[in-house]
Amino acid sequence: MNWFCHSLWALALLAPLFPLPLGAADQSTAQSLCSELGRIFDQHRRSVVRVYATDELGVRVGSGFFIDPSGLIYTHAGTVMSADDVKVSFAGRMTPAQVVTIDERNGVAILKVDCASPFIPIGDSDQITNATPVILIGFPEDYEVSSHLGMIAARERQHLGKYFATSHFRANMAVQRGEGGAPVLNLAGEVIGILMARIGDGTACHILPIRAAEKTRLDISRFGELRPGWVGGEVEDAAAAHAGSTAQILTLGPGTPAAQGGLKAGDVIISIDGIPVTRSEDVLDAAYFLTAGDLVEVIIQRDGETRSISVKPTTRPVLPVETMALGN
Amino acid sequence: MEHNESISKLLRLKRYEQPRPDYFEDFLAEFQLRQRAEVIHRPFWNIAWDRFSSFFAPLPSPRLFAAATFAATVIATGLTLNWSRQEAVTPPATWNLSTAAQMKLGSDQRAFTTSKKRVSSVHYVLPPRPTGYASAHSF
Repeated sequence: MNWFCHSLWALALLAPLFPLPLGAADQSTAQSLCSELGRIFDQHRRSVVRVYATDELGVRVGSGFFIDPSGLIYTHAGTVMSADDVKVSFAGRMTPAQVVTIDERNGVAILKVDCASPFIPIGDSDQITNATPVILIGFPEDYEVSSHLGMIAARERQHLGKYFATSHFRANMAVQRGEGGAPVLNLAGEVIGILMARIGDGTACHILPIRAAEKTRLDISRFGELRPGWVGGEVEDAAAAHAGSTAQILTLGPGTPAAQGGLKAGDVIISIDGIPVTRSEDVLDAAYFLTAGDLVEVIIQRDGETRSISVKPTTRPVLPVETMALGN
Repeated sequence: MEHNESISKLLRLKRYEQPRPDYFEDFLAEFQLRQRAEVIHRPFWNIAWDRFSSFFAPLPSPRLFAAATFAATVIATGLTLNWSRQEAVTPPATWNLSTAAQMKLGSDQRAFTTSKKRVSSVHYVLPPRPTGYASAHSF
């Protein structure tokens, strides 16, 4: 009898330490998640706009979103490219919009409307890892503003053998036409990317990290124009790694900033402007953020010795950009 | 004098020149029979035109007014049909959104409806892949 009483006391004391039954806990978590998703959607749905652009071929319709209170909008370049007239549907009315810039490298366009606006705060897309849940808010076809819940699957640099200008998130999330340019948010309600393309029939998608879009905005605010930087080097993967990197300079164009700065063929690149490089593909992201005229530090390994070389990029020459598919 | 005599003779002769009595008995029935036959054998447009023309009978030139009215009706019908066809080409899926009523389209809506070419296509943007460079490993 004594041991029975002691056991009851022990159970009573230990009970708070045990979690709730599994089913109840799951239900609570699900309710909390639903509530949070609903809150984010309600908070930011008014910051998402539908973009109409007309040209001689017809009307292109996409999504966009405000990024500051003065009416600045990010949208998909494919919506407004070559358009004669651009308008956004905002607060129940059509408002004329001015195209500030179109960046063909990343597929982002910046619009401006002359009115005060709600906006979605910019998040840190570098913190997004695989299996992060994300929310997309956009205008699918002719439906009202809608939300989608998805999950980041990976960061990708290429699709079907074609390289992007910079890494994109690949997300498992159903998307529809008309949502190109829609914001993708984290669970803190911050925008971490812009919907750029669907994959296959639209059950997955490619999302441009917001940091890559901010490069466009930064160029415009600093110089009034886009200034993608270029140093003029070609890299390939070496057979063996040096200091953790296989990205070896293959060729340097004569008179290019790389050659003038002192880089040589055979140098192994360790980092560019603080962005680590471990293989040749990594230079894609590092090069994307270069700005013409801004000195950049390139860490290399040459003859077993690590060196730092300063290079001043020039404006990137026009490269053959893939024709952007407009809506199809 | 002789001329007057011959006229009087002719009148006396005509006075006795009358149809048989049964002619007057069947006259009404025969008249209606012929009237119906004429209606049946006349084309519809002819009858309609007669009725249409009779509407303008009180006017000084009924046929002229009828012709002018008919021509105006034909032109108006043609214009209406043409306008309806342009409306059908307008992309209702886009511009009949719930926002359409709220949008103060004004001249924009005219721009979308006056040119068939402009409104012939609506593209909802979401391309199959992002933009990219053909050369991957340059910087």
